[in-house]
Amino acid sequence: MRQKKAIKPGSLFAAMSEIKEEYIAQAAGRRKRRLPLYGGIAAACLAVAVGVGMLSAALLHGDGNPAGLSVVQPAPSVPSSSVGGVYTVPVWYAPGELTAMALTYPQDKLVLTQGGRAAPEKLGAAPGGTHIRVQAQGTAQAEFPLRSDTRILDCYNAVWLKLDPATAEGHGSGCSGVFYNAETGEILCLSERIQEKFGPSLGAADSLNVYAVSPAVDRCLFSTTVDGAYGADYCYDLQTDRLILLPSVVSHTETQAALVLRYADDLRTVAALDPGDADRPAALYLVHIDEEAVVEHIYDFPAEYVEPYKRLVFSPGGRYLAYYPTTTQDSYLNVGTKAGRWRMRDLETGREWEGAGKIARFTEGDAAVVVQTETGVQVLDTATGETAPEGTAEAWQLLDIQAADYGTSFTGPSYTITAVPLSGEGEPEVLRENVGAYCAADGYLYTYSQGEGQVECLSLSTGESFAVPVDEGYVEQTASLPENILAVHRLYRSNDGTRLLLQYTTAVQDPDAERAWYMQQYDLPDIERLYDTYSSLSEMEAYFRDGLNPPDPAWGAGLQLSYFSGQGYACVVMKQWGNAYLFMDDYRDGTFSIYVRYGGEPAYWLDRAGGDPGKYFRKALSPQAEEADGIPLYTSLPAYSDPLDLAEYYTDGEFDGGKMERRQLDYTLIQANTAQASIGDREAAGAGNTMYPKIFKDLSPLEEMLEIAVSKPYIGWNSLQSEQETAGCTIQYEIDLRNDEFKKVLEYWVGRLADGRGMVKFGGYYRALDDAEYARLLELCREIYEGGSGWW
Amino acid sequence: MDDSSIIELFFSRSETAVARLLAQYGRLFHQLARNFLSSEEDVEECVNDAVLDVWSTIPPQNPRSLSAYSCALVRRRAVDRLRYKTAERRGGHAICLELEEGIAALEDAEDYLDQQELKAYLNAFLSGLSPENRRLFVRRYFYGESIGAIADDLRIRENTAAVRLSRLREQLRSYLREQDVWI
Repeated sequence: MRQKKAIKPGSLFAAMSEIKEEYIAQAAGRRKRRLPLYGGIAAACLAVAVGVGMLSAALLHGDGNPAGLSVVQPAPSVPSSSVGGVYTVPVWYAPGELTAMALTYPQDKLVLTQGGRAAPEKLGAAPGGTHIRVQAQGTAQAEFPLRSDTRILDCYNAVWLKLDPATAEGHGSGCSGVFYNAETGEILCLSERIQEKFGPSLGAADSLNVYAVSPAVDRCLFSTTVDGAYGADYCYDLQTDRLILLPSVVSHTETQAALVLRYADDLRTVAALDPGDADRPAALYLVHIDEEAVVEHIYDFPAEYVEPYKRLVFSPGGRYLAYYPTTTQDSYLNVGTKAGRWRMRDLETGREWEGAGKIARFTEGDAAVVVQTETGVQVLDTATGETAPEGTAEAWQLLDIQAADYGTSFTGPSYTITAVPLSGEGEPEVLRENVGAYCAADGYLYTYSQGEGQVECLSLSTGESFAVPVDEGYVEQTASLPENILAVHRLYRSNDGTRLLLQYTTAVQDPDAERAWYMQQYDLPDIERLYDTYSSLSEMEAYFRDGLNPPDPAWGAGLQLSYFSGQGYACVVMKQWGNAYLFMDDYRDGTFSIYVRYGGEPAYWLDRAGGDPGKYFRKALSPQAEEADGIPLYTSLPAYSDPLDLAEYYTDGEFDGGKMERRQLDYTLIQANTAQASIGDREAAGAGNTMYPKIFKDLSPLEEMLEIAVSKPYIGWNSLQSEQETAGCTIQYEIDLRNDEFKKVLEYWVGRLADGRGMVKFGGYYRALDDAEYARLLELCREIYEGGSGWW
Repeated sequence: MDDSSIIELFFSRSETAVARLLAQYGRLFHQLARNFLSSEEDVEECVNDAVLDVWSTIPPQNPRSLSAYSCALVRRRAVDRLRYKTAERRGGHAICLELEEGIAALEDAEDYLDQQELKAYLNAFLSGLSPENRRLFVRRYFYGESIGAIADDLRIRENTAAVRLSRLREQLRSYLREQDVWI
């Protein structure tokens, strides 16, 4: 008989912290007061539940006009080019034809049906383009029952909808790599297909994980798991039904940093990284899958390899690869920026040339590469590195198309799409505003707005445009949603540019327009948007004023503003959730910058965009900027507690991280900021047990501890040296300092590397110590710990 | 900024990672901690420590849902803090008492379930629930939300939510009893 076990009091409650992440995430989904954005089926459920006939059966059957493209109405934005059921695809549209499909959701069944694409009939070429008549003929509708909360993750080739297998049922459930063909209704479960065809060849694989699919959904990469452990990596070609085992070097890319595997879009080449060990450096390899997975060694990294690997750039056609040969610990900082240096490799010949700058894009057929440099933009022949003949790159390829969402939870998405010259010369041009969905490819911008009966196609080269009609049923359905439900549209384009697919999901509308706007303004990930929108404190006045009067007190809680100024500079400080952002006008050098302070640390860092390592938040001050001291709102704010002239932390016009780090570890500043100090001893607590730190009052030992730390070169975690040194390291003492707001001033940990050397760690950096230094730090920590009292 | 971008910042040990995490989910973390802890000081420290846990564990962890992963760490810190703060054996928190209601408090048992076993049982129990009931259970006993707030969001009466939770707890006890756990 099985031994009965008891539950320790409180342990069941504590064990709730260990439940599956998906359950935690599912429960939180409702918290955000949105319907799950899963295929829009939920909207149909809601409509049925509240008895609103939003999805009229007439759309399907009533009047003999089945769901699909209705008889085309002339597109008003295309003057005199359409005649009664005919619209025109102009000659300048290279793909030659364009039709828009739409996915709708009928009422009586919770299914996803093809929106219908009436067969276009080409009436022949004529001045202005090709006239196409679209008829409202019935097309075979593909229906397949999907769960009401099935989540659509992506769309390939405007026909293959990638589903979230966790929300799919039937064929989709338990699958990896689940796709739904919106034209035929076919459900493709890649893992199931592979298992059926190659089961025995895969050995005892008990599960497959499909992690990459080509744009044409004709090839995929997957890994196998056997008895809970990693098995192998493979490539499966759906066209030839061929299974290719990838070499073990591919699996080595799963380093401590858990790098995501990099590969060419067509999945014919994989860039694998072997992180090496103490005896050999990290190495970059290319695996040529079609050549029996031959492995080609490309480069050995003497130093940093994480960032360079992440920034590898394959050309769209898969012929070229740009990689970053970092030679020093610091050179990785330029990777992916205008100051970056890289090598362009021809994967067929192995020939290489060296280039510099930020790679913006490749031109048609990988013929040339467009590169942004500190002085402008270059168009280089991809094969030779020489300047390409004029005209190689089309005008639009010298532009960066940026989309900013200015919508709120009241309005729904509202994009402004801007063309920004890569050269940095000339003004950005706003192409379209108030757009609900968009996509851009091959020099064309496609846009759709709520309630419109057409998708517009804009040539980025000439500025000309034309429109294609959208199923009336889609327009009516999305315009007839219940009052507090928003339609969120998505627009996809086929690889050949001849088809578009329009699909919508739903969201609950915030009932208060002003509140919704306010919430959007203070969505702090948009620090980048603040930077893009404003160029001076005087421009930001209205933004900060609204911050002082939040419509929702709950939202405003924790938001604090303060101000300081000096000779030639002024700064507004915005604090929320433990961090502070400093918006600074400097009238001496004419700059506007945003700095970030983490918790109570006495350091300020020039903030930068998360997705673009080269984009620091520092730019020219607006020419119309008024001095902030003349703005009563600012001078009425509380004085900031740590006013400093950040210009002192620049060297030769560049922000000097070393100077700021010395401030970060300045004992006097740390002492002045600290209100509470604690020290924990992990060894005393024992492995796996909770460590209860002790409080200590006398900070004086820290002065010597900080001097020791500052005297050593620091090493960041994202480096080969870090990878090798810190595997197996242990921490013994943890010192934690907080200010009077309970924000962290300093964490200072002392421990040992796996090779026995001492180590001091703070933030994302560590420093190795010699024996004497390590012994001294242990002694000081021991003294502090033994002198500590009470528990934290 | 989406989760994958923030996770990438953690992987690259970028100093903006924590700021982005807090900006994205700071309110959620604070609210979760506030559901269990009474003082703002404790809430702040709990969130700060949990965020540090996220920094220390990503990489090598690469969670599918950053919010869920982080919330689990926040909750763990909150529960640790709760245990430390209170003298009551059962943690002293109403939700803990509610969840463990009817479960025998055996101080001298020969054998106790460890955390891994409890975790497995809980996940198995939850997997057998309907999605709606699972959400109800997790929102109450993981997130610590009030029954009124849950009922409001699920558009059911408060009494209905309370009765359903009571039945779910009974189901949990039955399930544990079947696994030869002392109830």
